Amino acid sequence: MLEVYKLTKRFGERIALDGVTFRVGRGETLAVMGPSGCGKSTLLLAIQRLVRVDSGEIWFGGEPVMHLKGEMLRRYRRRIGFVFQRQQLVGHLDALENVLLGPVLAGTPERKARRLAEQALEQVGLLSKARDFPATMSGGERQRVGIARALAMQPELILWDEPTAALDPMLVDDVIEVMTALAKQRSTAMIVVTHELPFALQVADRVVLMERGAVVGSGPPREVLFGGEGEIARRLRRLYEVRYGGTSLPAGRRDDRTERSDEERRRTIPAGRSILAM
Amino acid sequence: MFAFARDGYGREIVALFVLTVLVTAAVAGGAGAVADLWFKSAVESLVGVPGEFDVIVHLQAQAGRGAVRELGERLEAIAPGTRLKEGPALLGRFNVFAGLPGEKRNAATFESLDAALRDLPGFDGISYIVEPSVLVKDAHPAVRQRFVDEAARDPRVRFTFQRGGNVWVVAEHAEAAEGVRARLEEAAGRLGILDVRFAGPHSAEELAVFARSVEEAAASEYPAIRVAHLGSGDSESVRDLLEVKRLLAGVAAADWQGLRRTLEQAEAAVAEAAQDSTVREDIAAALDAFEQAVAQLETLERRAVQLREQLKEVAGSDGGTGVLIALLLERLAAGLQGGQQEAAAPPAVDVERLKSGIASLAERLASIESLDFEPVIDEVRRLEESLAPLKDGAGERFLELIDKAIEAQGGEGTRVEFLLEGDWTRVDPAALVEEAAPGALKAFVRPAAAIESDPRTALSRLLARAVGAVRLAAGLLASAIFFLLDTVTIVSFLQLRPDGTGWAPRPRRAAAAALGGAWMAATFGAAAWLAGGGEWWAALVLGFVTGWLLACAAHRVAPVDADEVQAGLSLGLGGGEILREIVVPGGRPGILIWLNHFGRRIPAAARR
Repeated sequence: MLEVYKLTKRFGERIALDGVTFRVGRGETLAVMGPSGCGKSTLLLAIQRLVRVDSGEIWFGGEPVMHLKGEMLRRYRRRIGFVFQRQQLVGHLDALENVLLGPVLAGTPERKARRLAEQALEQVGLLSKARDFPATMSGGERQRVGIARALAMQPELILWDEPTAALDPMLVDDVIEVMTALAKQRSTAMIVVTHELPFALQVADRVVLMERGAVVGSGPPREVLFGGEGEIARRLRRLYEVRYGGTSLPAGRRDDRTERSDEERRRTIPAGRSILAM
Repeated sequence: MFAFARDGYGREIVALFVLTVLVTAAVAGGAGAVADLWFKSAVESLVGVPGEFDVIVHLQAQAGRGAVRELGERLEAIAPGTRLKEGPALLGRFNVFAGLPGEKRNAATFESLDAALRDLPGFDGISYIVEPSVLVKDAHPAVRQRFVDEAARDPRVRFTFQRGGNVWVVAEHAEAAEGVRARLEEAAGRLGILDVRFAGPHSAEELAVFARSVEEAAASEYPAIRVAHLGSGDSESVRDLLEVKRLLAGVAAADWQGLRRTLEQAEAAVAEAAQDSTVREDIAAALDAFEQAVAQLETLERRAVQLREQLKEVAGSDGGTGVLIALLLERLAAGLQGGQQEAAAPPAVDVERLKSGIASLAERLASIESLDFEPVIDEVRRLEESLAPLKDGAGERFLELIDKAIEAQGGEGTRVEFLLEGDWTRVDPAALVEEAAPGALKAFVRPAAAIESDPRTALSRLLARAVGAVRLAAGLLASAIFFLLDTVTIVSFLQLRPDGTGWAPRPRRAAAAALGGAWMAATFGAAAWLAGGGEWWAALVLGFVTGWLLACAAHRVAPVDADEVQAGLSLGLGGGEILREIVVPGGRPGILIWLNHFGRRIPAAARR
């Protein structure tokens, strides 16, 4: 459904994207990993046409999108949800109003928009806080409102820009759980920029490794992260050993998707909680 | 993002412009109207309603309240029923407004008033504020009668009278005065004076030859202009200045210093005489010299008084506008300070005291055999203190100022004047005189007279400018407030990168600031035009500069959250929608937030 071909972007002397090429299928979850400043966030912004790239092509649903302008561009953006690292909620709107913003202004009838918004808030477990303002919420709650805002648009693809990076470690699980549940539904494709190795290993269908704006590895998570010989793969392996202990590696999701039950997969997600109605 | 107007926000922008202009115009117009009322009431409380008073009689404050009472009695005798009102005291002068009864408002009364009041104690001149009138000011003696005749031919003129070099033309009513003024201005526009100055003295024959040459040269160069030789001689005003200079030179160069020295010698001699009576002759000689110095001082003082009287006559015959302005300012200042203040009279040397001191000393000297010298020494000390107001160097400074004034008048030397009739502004005096008299120091042309309105009208024109300034200031303030409440938010929005990833590079921010300047110039200029007055052009300039400065600081004054804007973009919102739903509701409360309220969809959708 999404094809990115030789995407290149420079900020002055610094190369942010260096011929990035990959594709994402319908309902597929792609984890993008790499050190800070390697161009992951720029890649997501470029996909939603929020930054102008120097060269390259993007196809979405089989249509080129780089030439889109005005209303056509806005329609394209509405098909893609974006979950920001810093949530980026509108401070003077409450949770419900933040979530309503997209559907209402996309032309959805107001009653339907409200229903969609409430469903999205319920999906992230925040319907009871619909009239709360961002300033009165915790970081995790704000991030879940950000997710609900993306979901309410009923997007075909959701871009996640390190959604747990700015959160207190105690609140990370709430967000990961929502992401995992969505990935499991397989109704929406997802590109997740993350440093959460367990999530990438157990939830993602594929992993793209980036370094200095270029893709240095791509494929099934276990293969890329533990089979790769590059410096990034080695560092990620070391990190996993230190953080999660030993070398017993969990199985990759794609490889054993058919063999493992949902219950098993859920157990392997560290500290995950099941609060969502699936 | 500059396309937000196309994205559906254009209606709000147009409405914001219209409302800003209307409200600013209302504020500016209101402030101007209040200022106008206040000024009018201040003028009327000072000089009464139009036609209520005719003259301001100035009296020296030293003469005391008795002089004011005596003035009342004197005027009652001259013109029974004269209205009197004491205005604010200014620079040691009482200013008494007097309105003559109808039957006495004529040329004969006004022309004789000065002579009738001259011997009044403390009399310090008269300023004429007759209304409605037109003043032919500083009319050259050669053309003065022409203006009188011109006025006499106009049926709208009641009468004319002259004082000094001025002619007052009193009209039947205020509207007529404007027409009379236009007629006299037209007449004055045709009359000019060609003034030629020579560096040194010239004989009458030389000047006559020169005058003929100028007339011939002018006849060939400017056939449409009639040139007539008026006469030759020293400049009247330069002559006055030279007289003052001679007087001050005498005072500054010798007398005061000598007087001081003499006094010091006298004191020393008297002190010595206290020890030894054989120095009696020395004391007598010192006192003689002292007496002579005082006599010289007395002469100087007499000459100074004469000169002052002459100058007073000239000053007292002005149109009164200057006096009225000074009085009005004094009154306004006193009003602001919460009370009236009287200026102190300048200190003066007490010649009488010096003379009586000498007499006393001489008397004591005559009985020196039995003299107690202590009181004598005290007496001399007191005399010395009488000279304290004279500071060394003051005279020299006056002389320098007089030299400058003489230089400004064209310097010392002979002058030749010609009357120019026709379009005299075309005359190039330097070129004309260069051919006829290469030795001339300076040549210039000037109007033969200046036409002015009566003081109230002139004052009203000045106050109209002040009202204009108040209107402009109020408009600028209102405009700046609306700019800070509304426009600055939009400017701040425009200073973001189009993708909402932070502040735009400098050229884009500068363009946004220039747009802010243009917006405020347009709103303020239109408001000033709507509020009336001719300040709209100043409003354009002021508006642009103020708007540009405020717009430059927009990102500090009303920072727009780039994250929120980026979130809006990611949801597929257009620039107008982002402004309406995200940026403006988060800004300061102003006209825009009110206008925005009608187009917003989110709060309503959340309530359903």
